[in-house]
Amino acid sequence: MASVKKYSGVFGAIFFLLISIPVLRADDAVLFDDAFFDAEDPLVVADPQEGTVPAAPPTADQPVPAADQPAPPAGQPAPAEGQSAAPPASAAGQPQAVSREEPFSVDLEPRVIPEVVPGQTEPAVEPAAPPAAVDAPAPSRENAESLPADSAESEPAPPVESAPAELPKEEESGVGEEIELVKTLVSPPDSVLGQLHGEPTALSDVLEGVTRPADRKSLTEAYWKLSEALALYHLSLISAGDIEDCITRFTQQGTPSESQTAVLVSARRLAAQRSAEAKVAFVEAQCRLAELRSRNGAAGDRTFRPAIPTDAPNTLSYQTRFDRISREKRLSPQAAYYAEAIPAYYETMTLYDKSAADALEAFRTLYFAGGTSAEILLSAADKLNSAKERLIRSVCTYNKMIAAYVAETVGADVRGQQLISTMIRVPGRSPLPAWDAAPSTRIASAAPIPTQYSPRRPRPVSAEIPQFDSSAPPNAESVVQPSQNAEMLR
Amino acid sequence: MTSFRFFLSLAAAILLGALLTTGSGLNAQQPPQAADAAAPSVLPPIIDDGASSTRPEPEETAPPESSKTALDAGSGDSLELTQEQEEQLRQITKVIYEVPPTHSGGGDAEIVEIPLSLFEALSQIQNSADRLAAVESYWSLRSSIAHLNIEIHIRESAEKAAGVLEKAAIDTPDFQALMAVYRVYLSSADARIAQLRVEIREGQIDLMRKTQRSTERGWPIPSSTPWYGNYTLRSEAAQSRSFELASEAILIPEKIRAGYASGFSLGSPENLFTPEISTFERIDDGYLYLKTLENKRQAALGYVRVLESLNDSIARYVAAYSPSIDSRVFVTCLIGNEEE
Repeated sequence: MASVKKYSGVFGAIFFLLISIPVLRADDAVLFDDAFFDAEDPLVVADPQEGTVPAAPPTADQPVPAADQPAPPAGQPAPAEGQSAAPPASAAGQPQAVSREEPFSVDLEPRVIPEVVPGQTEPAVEPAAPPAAVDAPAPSRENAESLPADSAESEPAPPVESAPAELPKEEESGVGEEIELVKTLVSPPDSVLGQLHGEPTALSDVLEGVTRPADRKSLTEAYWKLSEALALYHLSLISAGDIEDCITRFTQQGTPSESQTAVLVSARRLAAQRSAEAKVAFVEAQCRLAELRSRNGAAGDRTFRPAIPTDAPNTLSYQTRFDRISREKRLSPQAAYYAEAIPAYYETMTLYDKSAADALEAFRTLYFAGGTSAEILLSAADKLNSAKERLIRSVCTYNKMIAAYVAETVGADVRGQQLISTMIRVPGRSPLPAWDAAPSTRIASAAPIPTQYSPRRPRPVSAEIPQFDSSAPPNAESVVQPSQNAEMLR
Repeated sequence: MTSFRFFLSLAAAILLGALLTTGSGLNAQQPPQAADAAAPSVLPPIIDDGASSTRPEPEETAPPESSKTALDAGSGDSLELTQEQEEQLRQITKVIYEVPPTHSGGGDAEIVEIPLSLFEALSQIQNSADRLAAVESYWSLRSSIAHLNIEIHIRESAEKAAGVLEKAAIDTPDFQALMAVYRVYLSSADARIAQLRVEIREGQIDLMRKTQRSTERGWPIPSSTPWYGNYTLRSEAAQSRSFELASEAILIPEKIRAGYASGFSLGSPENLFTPEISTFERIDDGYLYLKTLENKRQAALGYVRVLESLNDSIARYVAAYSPSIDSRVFVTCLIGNEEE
């Protein structure tokens, strides 16, 4: 008994150790997580659906296709939505760091793989990441932006049933309302389109069958110029409406004075004159594009077709992926220039964006403020118009730069929607690269994409034209008194 | 390709028919010597002077399908003007295109300026491309001079208003601020006028080079007025011939409409450069006067821009339509017969 007592302490210690070892192992597994397993066995990853598959570590110039989705042949358009390789649900709208880490944490540890539910992206089968030494260059601004996209592109995700769940909502993504303003201006309502003539034309229609990068560049530039002209024409009509709102404002306040009448009439006439000029500029841009299309069209197709653009220009930040592409292909100095200039011009564009929002805010404030003079209110309307015009022109310039960069970096073997998705967001496609590249089109796999959402905070100012409250009844003093001046303003 | 040839054949047939049926109308507009010289291989487009009965009837031939949309584009609004509208536009254009003194009188050299009609400017040019370049230079200079005219008138109005305000001699900060704004406006106008005078000299040099003239007889001042009315394109047969013709056939009607809109937006010819404000009752009226003046200035400049663009388009269209046309007929096709 004494011996039992003597050794009971030892037995107790052994028993405690036997119990506690599994617990410690489980804790270690959580703590070491991906890095631990990655270091131990980098060649094996666990597939959540098919068990374990071997995965060769890709190098920078050797992207690996998805295990369950063979890469399409060269030049073949990417699969449609619902079949395309899509990024993880969080990739589009969440901070990039999260997206960059996801391949490791999701794929190497089955117990942390989320369940696939309808409407969400299936977890991607990700090969092991390239060694850090391969990605030695410190990420520049655009490089940093491109990192999650690179991983998503070179490591395509399996098909998904639906993409919308992964698309960020506007208020979450930070897509400001001024971007909506541009979209609104380049997509006029039927009342405006009814005054124009031409065939609704997408950018892909314009570039169909065009293989020479220089031709693609000139055609794309002409397309954006036309889009700009359409937006400016639409804007001229909106601005004329703003002037009419000002006239309504002053006639509601009472009989306008002789000076007020003169300035309001002159502003109305100037607005009409500007609309006429804007329409001519639109038709000129139509002719320019039609002529280029006739020259560059497929053999025998020399039809002169005025177009009405249907694709909106890109207003989001653009991932040039210059570092990655330049590792695979010798790029021109022009490409290097655009790789630097495009992000810089994006900043410029956002400043114009802010300027337009501020001008709109100022106009609305002055409009609703009592006692604002006609001169000040019309000046505010002028400034609003100018700010919007500068924004539109900057968006066009930005997209022309992107077209020039694409002409320098994307080969002739990339065509169709693949080509379009290097410049603008293609409706129905993932905002992150949604197409796989065969080895023969490896350079295309590192093609630039335009689709990084802006991290900017949404602004409170509505992008819409100010909707003035017409429900408020005018007070007794503001009832319009017929007079000569009022007649002139009708 | 077959259809393209068919359209070419069709175009030739239509042009021949048009020459036979409307040639008398065209010749009726031309001076005798121009009629003698006019033997173009294809009939050039003609000026539609509105009131004239010489405008040919619309051709019944259907345009090529490829250009149908473009032609439809021009059918939305009528390009016809009433007699009153036409007269108003003529008066407005006349006032806008008055020739002011193009030099300030400073300097040692005596500046001699001579009026130069478009026909005179083109008389020594044989090459079609050179002729087109000379026409563009001519209208560019004409626009610069019209621009100068507008600036001078606008400045005069601002100066006059400033004089009236100064007489009030109100000693308040608000009033002094208003007067400061007027002074800024006047000095800006002075700068623009000085800049324009330099540009006009440069334009004159460019025109002399392109018209192969020397300065011995003086500096040229374009005297022809750009075309601002309706224009018969005969585009149905022309559009299938070249992209340029097709483009201009779409653009010219649009520019004519823009010219109408711009011209009529200027208001009555009597008040092109003078706001319809008779008295200054409040300080705010002074600002409104200046704002109205600026709006009028911008609208007038817009009209000049539109007309320059329209006349350049017409020149390109005629040059592409009939490259080997005689200079006098060419000018007639551009601006009709000028009243000497």
